[in-house]
Amino acid sequence: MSRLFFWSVLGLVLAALIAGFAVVGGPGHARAEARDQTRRADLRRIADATICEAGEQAAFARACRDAERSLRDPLTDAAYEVARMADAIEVCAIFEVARESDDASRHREGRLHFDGPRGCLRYALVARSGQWATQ
Amino acid sequence: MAGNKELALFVRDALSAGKSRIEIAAVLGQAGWSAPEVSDALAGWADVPFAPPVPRPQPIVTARDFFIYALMFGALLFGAGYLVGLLHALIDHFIDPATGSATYRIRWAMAVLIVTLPLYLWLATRERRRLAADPALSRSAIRNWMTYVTLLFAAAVLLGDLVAVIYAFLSGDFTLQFALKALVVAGIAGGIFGYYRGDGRRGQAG
Repeated sequence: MSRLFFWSVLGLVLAALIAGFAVVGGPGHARAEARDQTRRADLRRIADATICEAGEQAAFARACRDAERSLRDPLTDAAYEVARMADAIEVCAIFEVARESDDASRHREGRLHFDGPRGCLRYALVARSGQWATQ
Repeated sequence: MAGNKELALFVRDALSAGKSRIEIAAVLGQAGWSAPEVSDALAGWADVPFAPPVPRPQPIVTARDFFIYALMFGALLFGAGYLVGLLHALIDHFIDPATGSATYRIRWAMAVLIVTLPLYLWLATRERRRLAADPALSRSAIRNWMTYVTLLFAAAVLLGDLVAVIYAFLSGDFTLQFALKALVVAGIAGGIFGYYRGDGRRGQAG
């Protein structure tokens, strides 16, 4: 193998690997991303549970089976913040890496509203239909 | 040596009978054999003043060669494919960050490259050293075949890339993102093709 070819292959692949690491981060970052995914799913289940408790709603029958109120943060084991108003529900968690900018385009339905690292899933009661809708 | 046994035997008999190579080539040409067939048949016998004619060494086929070269070229092609994938995902990430799935593609491609890059470089350097120490090993038929299979893959990818570029141009999808991706494919496939074309020639000469 010629020296030039050897070094160009090595250089190109190493540069690509370094760029890859810079973009996706190391294993710690990946674990934080996975925990954020768990938080996102937890918020939805807690919101479903809160809605299920709020009243008998056929549309949520399936969601009610998987709903769970007593979920806790996967890293800190703290309870999630749940705010229940008459016509609104807000469930929040402190996220590690997820932010508004990368959330808006990927999760149009039930997207999280961020204020710094604090992300909230918001539902509002639609007066006309009596259904809860994500905001 | 020519694939044709009759021709090889004829050349051997003619050389044994003291005919010159020019005479043999002329008479074979008259009989309808093509120039490459004639030169191959004559090349099968060493040009030394000795009777009977001395055969030249034949291409070698060994199981070891198959194992080493299949692994080496497999690592090269697999690694090159994922290097293209990694660079494409990076292009997607930097030009259009909203695509989102790039993270998983990048991690998988990185894992493949971390395995295939050292394997390929180690095998290729090791084989290059073995060949330098014993040039007779370059007669490995498997090495030549693998080289040409790699060339075929690289050529097919280059042609496919060209077709994709023309198609994208005609359908109005020739964006900066597409152009960069096509350039990555052309650069990697072209690099492999250029390098192994020289290697294939050396292999045939050896």
